[in-house]
Amino acid sequence: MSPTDNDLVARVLASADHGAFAELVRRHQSSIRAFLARMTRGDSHLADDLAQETFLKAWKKLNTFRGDAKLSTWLLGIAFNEYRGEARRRKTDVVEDLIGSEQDQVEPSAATNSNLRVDLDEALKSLNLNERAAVLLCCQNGLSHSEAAEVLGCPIGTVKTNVLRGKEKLKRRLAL
Amino acid sequence: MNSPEELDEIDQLFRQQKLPVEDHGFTARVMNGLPRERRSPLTPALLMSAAAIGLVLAMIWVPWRDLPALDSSALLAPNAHILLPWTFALAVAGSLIWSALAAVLRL
Repeated sequence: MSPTDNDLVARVLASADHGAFAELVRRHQSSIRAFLARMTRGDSHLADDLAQETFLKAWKKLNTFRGDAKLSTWLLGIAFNEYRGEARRRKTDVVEDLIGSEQDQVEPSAATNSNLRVDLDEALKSLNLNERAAVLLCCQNGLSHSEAAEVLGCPIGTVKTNVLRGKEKLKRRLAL
Repeated sequence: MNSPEELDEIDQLFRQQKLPVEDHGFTARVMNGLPRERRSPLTPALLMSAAAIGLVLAMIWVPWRDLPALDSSALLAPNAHILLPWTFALAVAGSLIWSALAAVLRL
């Protein structure tokens, strides 16, 4: 039986076990990189840089992981903070909110099966930062509203509202 | 997570498009980027050598046979003439054990 995440965390904390940490990275890199790729609007290089920084931060502060939440949720919290920090440095927060509201006025596209992935990626760009993060965490990463609230550091009601608004925008854009 | 009956078109769309992101060397890059602990490979050998030399010197120089008898009266009524040599001898023994343990743990 393969060791659980908590077993691997314990091994890293006890003896700075690089093998155990590598296994944790292998297990969680896909969900973290997929989340960041869509948060960065498809900039895969930036997403990978942020994902790498996420795991380095996780290594440094693994002793603060309490174990009452899932490790994946904790890592997504670090990833979101990394993204937010980068957005602040690049001052893209305000700009992207404006882009979001402008794109919301664009006519919906007729989504065909072959173009569905591209269309969803494009449609996601019409969401502002908070809506996009909430929708991705709940719909793509499968977090509950309360887990997403923990990741985003906001009340659960705010998450629900952002998911609802985000989904409505996506449905309009995708003509669903 | 939302239960299946709560899933709407958007949830279904995300589920359909969920593809694993291939590693392509990502894990290796992360592991290479981890801060290296500054530890010399010579440290365990140096510690073991120091402990061995210290042990030999302690065997030669510490007057083990001349140590005063340590009985309960000496402990109950502290007597510097008895306790000081023993404190010194225990400090030497403790240092040697500590060095040896540190060397073993760093191997």
